[in-house]
Formats: sequence, structure tokens, C-alpha cells
Amino acid sequence: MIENSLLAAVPRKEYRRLLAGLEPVTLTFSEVLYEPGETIRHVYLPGASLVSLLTLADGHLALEGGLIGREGMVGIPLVLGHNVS
Amino acid sequence: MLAPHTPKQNHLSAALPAADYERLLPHLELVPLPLGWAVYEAGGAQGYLYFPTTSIVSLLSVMEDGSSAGIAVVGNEGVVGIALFMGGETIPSRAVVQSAGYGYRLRASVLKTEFGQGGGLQRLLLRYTQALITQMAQAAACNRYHSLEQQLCRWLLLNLDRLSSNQLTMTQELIANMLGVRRPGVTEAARKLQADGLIHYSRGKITVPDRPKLEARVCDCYAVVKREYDRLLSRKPAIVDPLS
Repeated sequence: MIENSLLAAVPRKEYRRLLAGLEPVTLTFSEVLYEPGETIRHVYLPGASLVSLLTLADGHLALEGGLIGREGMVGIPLVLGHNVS
Repeated sequence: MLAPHTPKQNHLSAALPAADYERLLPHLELVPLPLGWAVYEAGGAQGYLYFPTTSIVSLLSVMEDGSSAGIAVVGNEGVVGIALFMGGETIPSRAVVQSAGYGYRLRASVLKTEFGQGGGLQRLLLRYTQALITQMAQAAACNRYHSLEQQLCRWLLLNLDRLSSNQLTMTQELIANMLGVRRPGVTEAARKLQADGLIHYSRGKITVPDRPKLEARVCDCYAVVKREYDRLLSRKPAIVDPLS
């Protein structure tokens, strides 16, 4: 069973094509996936994990602007055309 | 005399490759955008994509009791109606003209065809969407952590950028709505800024006589948003001088 619902909704043919590029990874608590301004090299499709998108004020005070779990994907800027977080 | 209208007053359409621009030009229709007019309602159908030229449109989150809070502003740097090309068709927020002026509109069907071809328009609209996401996220953080005075500075600068002007026609009531705060707070913050010579407020017109002074007072949130727009859309200088 595919845990991530976005992946699960991809047409079968496309999913098969994607499969070769999908790499299972363990996301550990408080691991940072991207820092602001850093080049984004991977998108993440969470299964049982939750990823918080934080916006910084004054470079350190963080506010959660988004929460991503099995319904979504982390790394939207890569899709919108610019590979910097 | 006022300069003639041209879609190139909007930075996004001005940044289109010449061939894409020529193809779209016959479909871009000049429309007046009067104060308070709802470009679209929460969850409502959006028939056109709007390219503001001399107007500002606020995107508002609507609460159950009818009150609303501003989540972003769009002017000559952007477009109103991203749901049309992102694939969702509608969005649970409303878009209202907060500074009257003009803009061009593009019929949804034409937009979708053009976007689907994956040319210059698609590239620009997606990058604009990313910049817009940053504006929304940074406003949320700013509204949570910074003083109302700083929020007001950020908001003023964002608005002036989008009009390519140093003057804004705006009531304090409207500003309070945008920032999601009570009006007396805005009055107090505006009075302070006026006392320090950063703004001049008279009869609903806010003038910024010395922009660098206002920029020195604003929190870093403004620069974060501006840098992102510049980086993603590499802004060209305004082609039409609003004073000529």
C-alpha cells in the first residue's frame, strides 16, 4: 500500500515511471529538510511523518505557516520553477 | 495628462517574451477596478485572470461572522486569480479592490490554453505564485511577532511598491481590516509615524515623503518579501512614468 495519498493518486503508468526515482528515507524528529535560501534538491512525500513549514521573523522567531503529512509534498518551490527554499 | 494605458504597466505581462505578449495582447481587456469591488468571492467562480496596472487588490480571508483579514496585496507586480491556473478553479478567500485604478483581464479559457502550452506565461505565473506564498507566510509571521507600527510600515511599503508611487489613498478603517487589528491601534501607529515625519496622513491620503526613512524603520519582513519578488521575477523598472 502507498502511504502518501498524492503518490497513491498518481496514474499507474506515471507511478511506475516515478518508482525508480523514489527513495525511502527516515525523517527524524526536528531534522531540517531545507534552510531558507538553500538549493532544494529533493521533494519529500511523507508517509507516517509530519513536516512543519516555518517562516522566520528576524531570522530566528519561527511561525508554522504550513503542515504537511501523508496528504502532501514538501518542496513546492521546485515545482513552481525555482529550486531555492 | 495621463499616460495611455498599456498592459506593460503590469510587470508580469511586461516580462513576457515578445511572441507570447503579442499573442495575448488581443485578449487583454482594459477594465476599471473601482474601490471595494470584489474581483471574486470566497469559493466563487473566477471568469478572468486580472493584471492590475494602477490599482491594488487585497486578498482576504473571510471568517464565519463575516469579518475578514488581509492575507496579501496584489498590484502592478502580479495577477489576481491564481486558482485558475493552479487547477483549483476557486479559492476560499475573497479579492477586493482596495485602491481604485485600472487593470487588464484575460478570459479564463484563453489563460488555460496559453498556460497549458507551457511557455513564458506559465513560467512567470508559477514563479509569481511562489513569491505570493512568501508574501503570505511572511505576513503571518510579522503579524504574530512584530509591533503594529512595524506591520504598518511593511504594509505601506508593499502597497507603494505595487502602485509605483509614494502616495496611497486609504482609510484607517480599511488598513485595520487588512491587518486584522482594531482601528484605534492603527490610528495610534499612524500618529507615531507621522510625528516622526515618516508619513503624512491627510483626508484619507497617505504620503511617504522620505521612503528610505520608512525603510529604515520597517522590520526585516519587508526585505524578505521584496528580495523574493526581485529574485523570482527580476523586476524591470516601470515602463510608464505615472507622473507624465
